[in-house]
Amino acid sequence: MRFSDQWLRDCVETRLPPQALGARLTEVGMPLDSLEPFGDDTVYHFDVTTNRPDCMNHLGLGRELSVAEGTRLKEPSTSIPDVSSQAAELLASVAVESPDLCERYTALVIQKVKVGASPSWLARRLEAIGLRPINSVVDATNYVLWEMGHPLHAFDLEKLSGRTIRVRRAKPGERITTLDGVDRKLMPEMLVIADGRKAVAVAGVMGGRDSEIGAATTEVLLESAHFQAASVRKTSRALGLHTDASHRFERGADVEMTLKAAARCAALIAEVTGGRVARGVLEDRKAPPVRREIALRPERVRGLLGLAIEEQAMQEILQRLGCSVIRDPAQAWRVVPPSFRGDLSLEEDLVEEIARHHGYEKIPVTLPRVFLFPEGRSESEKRMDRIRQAARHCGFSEALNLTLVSEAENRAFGDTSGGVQVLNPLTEGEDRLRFSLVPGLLSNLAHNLNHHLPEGRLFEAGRVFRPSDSPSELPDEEEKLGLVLGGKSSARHWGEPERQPDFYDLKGALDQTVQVLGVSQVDWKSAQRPFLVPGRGAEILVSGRLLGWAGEVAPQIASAWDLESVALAGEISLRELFAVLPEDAAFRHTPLARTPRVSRDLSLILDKAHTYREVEAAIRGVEGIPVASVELFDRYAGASIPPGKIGMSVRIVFRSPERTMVSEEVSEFLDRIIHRLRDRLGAVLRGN
Amino acid sequence: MQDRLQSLRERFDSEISSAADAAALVRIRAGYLSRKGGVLSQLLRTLKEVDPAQRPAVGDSLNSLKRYMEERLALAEDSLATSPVAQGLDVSLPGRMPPLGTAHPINQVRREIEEIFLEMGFSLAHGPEVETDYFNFVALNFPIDHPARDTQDTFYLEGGLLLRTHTSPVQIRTLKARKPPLKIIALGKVYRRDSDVSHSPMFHQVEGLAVAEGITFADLKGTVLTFARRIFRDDTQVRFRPSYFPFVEPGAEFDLSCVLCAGQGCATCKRSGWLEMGGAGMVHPEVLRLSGHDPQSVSGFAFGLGVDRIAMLKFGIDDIRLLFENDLRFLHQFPGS
Repeated sequence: MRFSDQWLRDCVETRLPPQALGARLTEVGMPLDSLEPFGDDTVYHFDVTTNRPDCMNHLGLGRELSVAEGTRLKEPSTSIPDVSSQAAELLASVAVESPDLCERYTALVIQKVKVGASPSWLARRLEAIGLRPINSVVDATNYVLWEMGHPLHAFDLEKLSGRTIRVRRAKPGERITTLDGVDRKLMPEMLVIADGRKAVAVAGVMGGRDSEIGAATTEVLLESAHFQAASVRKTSRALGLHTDASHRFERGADVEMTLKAAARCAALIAEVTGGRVARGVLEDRKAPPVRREIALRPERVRGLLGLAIEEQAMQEILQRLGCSVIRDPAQAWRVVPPSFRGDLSLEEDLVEEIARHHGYEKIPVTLPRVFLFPEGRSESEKRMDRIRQAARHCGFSEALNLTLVSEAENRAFGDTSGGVQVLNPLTEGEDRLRFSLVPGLLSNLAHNLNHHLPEGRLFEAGRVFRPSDSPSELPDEEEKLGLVLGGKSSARHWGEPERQPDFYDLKGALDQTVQVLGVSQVDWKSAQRPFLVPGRGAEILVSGRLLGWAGEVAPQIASAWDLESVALAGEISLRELFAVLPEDAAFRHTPLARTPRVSRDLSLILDKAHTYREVEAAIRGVEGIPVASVELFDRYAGASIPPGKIGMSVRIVFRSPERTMVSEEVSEFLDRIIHRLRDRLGAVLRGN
Repeated sequence: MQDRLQSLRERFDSEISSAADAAALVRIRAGYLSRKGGVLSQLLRTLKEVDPAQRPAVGDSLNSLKRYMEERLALAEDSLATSPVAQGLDVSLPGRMPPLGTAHPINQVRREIEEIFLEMGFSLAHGPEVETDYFNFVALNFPIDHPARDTQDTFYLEGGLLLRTHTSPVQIRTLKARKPPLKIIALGKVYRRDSDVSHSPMFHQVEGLAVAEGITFADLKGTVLTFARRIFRDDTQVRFRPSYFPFVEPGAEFDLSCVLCAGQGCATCKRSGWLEMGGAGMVHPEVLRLSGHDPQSVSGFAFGLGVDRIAMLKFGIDDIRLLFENDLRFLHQFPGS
């Protein structure tokens, strides 16, 4: 919000140069954003917070400075000047028909005005704060708004039908052309200022074109009213019309200010137009509100701030701010804030006033004296950390993607609903909450591969969203882990041949990541997904629970994501994973076997239709044989293997926990295994 | 005998000049000079069988051959030691580095922030990213149709839901679920309809809340100062300025002395020496009351600040979009975890 240095100095005595003045106001909660020269003036940009509409003008801001600096505030005269013999009540009338939305309506009449351009001092002031001068009457109303903070509106009285003002709700279907030339449809809950026939202004927002002040205007009805904040806000938003007036009314205006502002403005209009102010005030108001009395306990001030501050200092600050203070040594103080401080209603509000002007920098620095057992990280937080660490140790770098995606991205990865929708997105492609981490990760992969990196490995651990059954219920937010891997060659060493990353790189990384959390057995089942290459996708299960999927990204997805080389992706639910994990506290080590191990290799030939999983299950399934481990060390097809068959070489390690095995016994074990492999899978030994 | 010594010398010379590495020299030394099996050592032991008249001359020849061999071996060993290739491996060749991924800089900073507050006795709290109007606004003393909502640039969803605009709803969820005394931080993603060099529609905030008997504004100052000095530098200064947030009273914003120029004034702090960091204040009595606590018996402080901003300051990043582009050339610059 712009303020003029010269104008501010008209309102308050101060010797501070502009920079220091800005710094001082910043200290009491009116932060200076910047300042710049404006001719022989200086323009400040202050960020006045929404709770302080009383400071959105030069006098109000000056008041803060006068309290801070202990200097005098120079308030303008608010007596009605130069009264003509004409009685206002014979010239016009006002009536508030919707008192719930308008607490007070005050009007003065100025006659014999000659509308022209404003004098240069007035025009310069308005230009300094960024306003365009219009004519002397309108400029005077704007001037007073920016001086005292109260919005005013001037009507051409001769254009008001019946020379009357009716403050009422709009009629069904009623329309108005506002000063900006736009024809607007009014809603019945909107408050309007009407004359005898029709709406002539949108209350607290903008006047109407038909009654605007022009060169021919000779009689002015000057409105100074108090409109209900919420009503102005709703109307202003519904019409998409934000004005200096609505900005102040919706933050709360001062009901006691209407007459003072009108008097000040009428005097100014008379001065700049040569007009005469009619005798008497036109007014319709509700009974003045009861002044709010706030109980204030000095010990509460000290207790909340942790600051030893004298009662005298507290009292002085409150009084300088315009509060009346009754100190009662036996009870709480009784403090009545001034009418322009609608933001003060609680004891804590007064604590802030005292702290603010005493200086936040004077509050000591301590730490809470609270006894609490430190809880540390929870089990699931530790697991999240470990899963991230495990993924990094597999060579995957962590990505963080926007949760906002497009509907197409969600649908491509299996979200049939399209995803949770954002009603007011910034851009069309970011109007859904992500259903999967993989679309974002694939975009990252494409970005990296298209920037000439030979290979990319990325992961993300974060939330995905699924709509709930009812739109007013919170959607399901689930932590997932996504991994992508792709490129022309996997990380290679100078001594080794180049190769493309494949499914088993991803599988190994996922297995290892999950195993870090204590899962010993991960089951991979061949499975189809529309976004994976048929025959190159899998479901991942632990203890029979489906954790997620992994596989080679289908060509139509790869091309839609601008990926030129092979890409692999997988995603698992961390909620499902954590549900099957044993508690860390339950972990115990397995004692090492001290007996010797005996290992035997088998080279098998079997139908291609059989999986390695079946081979291992068959070996381990032979009862009464102490198999310590089974490891596949070769898998081959080729000239030596008949068509439709596959060769697999496995190393089986036997170990009895109790004793040393003799070789006859191991041979017998092996025979039984070979029989079972033949019976179950039709496997034969190579070379037999 | 002399002929035999001469042929021995020739054989030694040819072996030593074709010796490619240290291992070969060790073999040659053992073959000629070792006390037990060395050829020359054996010859020296047979000296007593030589004709006594010729014995001194043969002895001299043997000893001079021995000296010769030792000198040549020493020379060969020296030259091998100074020639890297001949020693065996070119140790300057790149090793087989297991691929190692990096943690995202925001998550590195998140961990660091969490550690600092955990050490100060705070617990970690969490809440949903999609929130109700009640938790995001009403319970935080933002009434319906209040102008303070304008500053929040809210993304709305169907059914009156919204994307949380701050981590403050976690304050309410915590206050409703737990009894004071409590000290928590909540760190997570928040959303505002804003996008430029310094704003992303999604960013990260950390929220602190302490509620107990006798919590003061001075405690707030001490907690924020401790955090600022731990996360940045131990001479960091904190400045509290009065400000307005509906859910705190008294309310404040706080600035840190610029972590780049130590308050001297630079481009990052716009020559002011201060960096705006976040909002804070004493928990508003209405917030305590709405979540079931008596503001006369307990008090509390709350503060919030941007995690991404801390990361950007710590790592000298001036475009927030770099943080979400996930370019590996960028991510790999952060090997810490």
